[in-house]
Amino acid sequence: MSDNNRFAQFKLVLLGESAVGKSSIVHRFVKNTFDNMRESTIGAAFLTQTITLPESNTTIKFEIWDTAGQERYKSLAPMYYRNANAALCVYDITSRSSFNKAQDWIKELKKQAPEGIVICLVGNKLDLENEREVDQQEVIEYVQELNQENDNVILSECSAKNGEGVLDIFNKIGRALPVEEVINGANNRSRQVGSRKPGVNLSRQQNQPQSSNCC
Amino acid sequence: MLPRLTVSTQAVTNYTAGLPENDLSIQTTVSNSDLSDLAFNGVAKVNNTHFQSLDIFPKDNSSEDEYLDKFVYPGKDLNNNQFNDKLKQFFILSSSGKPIYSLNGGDELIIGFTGLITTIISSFQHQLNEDIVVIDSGDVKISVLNRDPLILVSISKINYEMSMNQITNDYQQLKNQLHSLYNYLLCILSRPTITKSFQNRMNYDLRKMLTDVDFKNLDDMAMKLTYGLSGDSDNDDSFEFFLSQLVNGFPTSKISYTIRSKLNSLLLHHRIDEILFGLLTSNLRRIITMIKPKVHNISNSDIDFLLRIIKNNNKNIKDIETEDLWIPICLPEFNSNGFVYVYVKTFDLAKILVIDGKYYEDSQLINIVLISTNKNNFFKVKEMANKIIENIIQLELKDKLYQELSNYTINLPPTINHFVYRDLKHKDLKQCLISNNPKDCNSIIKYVYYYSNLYNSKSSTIQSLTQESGNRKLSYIKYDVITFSIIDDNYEFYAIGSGELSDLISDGLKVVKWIKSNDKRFFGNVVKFNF
Repeated sequence: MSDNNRFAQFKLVLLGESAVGKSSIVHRFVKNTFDNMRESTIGAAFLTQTITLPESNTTIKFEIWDTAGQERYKSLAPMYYRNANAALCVYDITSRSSFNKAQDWIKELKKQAPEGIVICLVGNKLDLENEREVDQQEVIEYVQELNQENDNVILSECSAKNGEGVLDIFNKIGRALPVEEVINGANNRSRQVGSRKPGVNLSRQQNQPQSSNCC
Repeated sequence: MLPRLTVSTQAVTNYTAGLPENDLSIQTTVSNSDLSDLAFNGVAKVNNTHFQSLDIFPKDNSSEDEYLDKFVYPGKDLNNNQFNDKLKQFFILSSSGKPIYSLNGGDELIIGFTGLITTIISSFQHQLNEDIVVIDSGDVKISVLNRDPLILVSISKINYEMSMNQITNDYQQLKNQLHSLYNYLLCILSRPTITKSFQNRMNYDLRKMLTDVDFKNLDDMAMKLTYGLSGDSDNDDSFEFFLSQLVNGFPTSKISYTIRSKLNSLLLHHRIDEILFGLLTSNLRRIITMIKPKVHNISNSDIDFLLRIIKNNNKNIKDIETEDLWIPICLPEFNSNGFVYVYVKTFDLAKILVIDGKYYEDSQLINIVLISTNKNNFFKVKEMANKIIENIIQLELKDKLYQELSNYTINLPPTINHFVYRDLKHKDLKQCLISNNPKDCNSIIKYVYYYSNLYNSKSSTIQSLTQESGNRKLSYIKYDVITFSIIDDNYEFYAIGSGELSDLISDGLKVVKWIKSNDKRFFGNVVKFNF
């Protein structure tokens, strides 16, 4: 494999409250479409998309889990983030509660997700700026505080509706991912982060009954 | 043009004479090999009667649209009078009386009803130790389904829902509707989730666990099961849903035996161990082929809900082909206590067919639906689906498959406007064949009325004149059209037509004979394996 043709594959999961626009962000990224009449997702959808990072001449393939934000699917979330290399915690800039929820997801990921997972906090619906409820400065301060504890949470805002900032999120994540490790690892034929491994390991979840987390 | 207003006389008669003397004398010119050769080319007589002139609903001088808005279509923001105008009400409430769902009206309006209902139910339970099922006050019927911790209630003022089914001596239709709504909740939540929610707090609000989509789906089902109309004015398959629920048969597709067997063996060949049921469907509406274990069955209702939920999810999503879905769902009649995981991949047959360097214009969506018992093996299931798609792409007959799926038209004899044929021979899956569906509200409501009455009426047995064909049951009801049914051990045939009764029956039997001679194209689509 020549250096001109560097390739790495990563798993990415979207988390966040219902109706913040997770699916819309993914669809803008993968299909460059926006579905106005979109209904809420049931279960989860799996999609893929590649980006190229010109400076390192690397092609990155994202395997994306677009999960349902609805409360009743919450117990399934670990199945999707357990093996993830990156997570988008999405909130709606016009909804205070969705920002709180995104913070909860970040907390959960820090406890449960694989070490080194790249987390991106995304504020969607930038096109509704005049209805904004979540102050950008506040989000910046929140993230700065997180990053003081040696974390590396990326911050982004976008509008899936007009496309603004969407690709940027994935480029930022691409640059934060351990691309070199994966490429070298793949060359050494060893199992590294991001190397292809079929199935989602869920051994810890297996015997748990389907529960509704409602507290 | 003004609709012709004829006052119809409803004559329910048991038909005992006039059947063609010798069944064998019925000549069909249908070729058994090619469906396109079907010789019925006449145009069905248009029946002009408007549903408002029939004895279905209360009389009112408003236009069709006004009438439907006033009496039929659901509304959430209604005043008391508007609420009372609606001909049908559905409520779902908790055992303690907390409203969960209502087809019409908001909480303030229905809270009085829910209090009353819980009081009646509990007084019956305490004093008689019995569940109340139907309260009959002549013009209004209240049906109740008590599934602790939930109570489902419907109130109907609709003519065709008033009469008992004369075969089962039961208000089958009203009962089935409530069961369907209940099963929908089980589908998305499962029984343990519902029970657990109420365990700690009797006044738990189940709505916390439901989404807008769920309420929309409940509205849509309530409308389709009652009127055959869709909740969102897209009546594309709404009547079909009503009819398939009424006769309890899943609509089938028309595919040549060779292609069907090829697809069957593809599914079977690539099946991995955890796959319990596998289906190829056309537009999530008709089953092309299905695999199932010898020891397990999946009911019509479970398949119906499964496909309906996926279909509503996929609605309004562009390029659904780029997504693989992985959906936890409960199949209530299979096992209401747990979830299965459903993998869904859709692909467009038109996009893999190149004729003279061009693609087909009209898309023809095929869905691979694989039901797994293990939530961890998405990628294995995805691989299975990919192999199936690769194999379909390589199929020489894919062009023919496209033609067959996109030309789903059934030609009818001139006397018959519409029919449904329910197959009783193949036991693995109850299926039916429905001729092309009406799409306009007027026809749909009339057909719902005709078929409901026909289905609930009693039929008489006719001794066969020929030894080999066994006994048949026949019944008919005369309006300005004639509705009739022919039933024997292998099939049920219900139809609406106009003309002389004897002609209708003879033409009906021709259709039956044609369907029977094409049995393998319509019904031979389930393959069993050892699980």
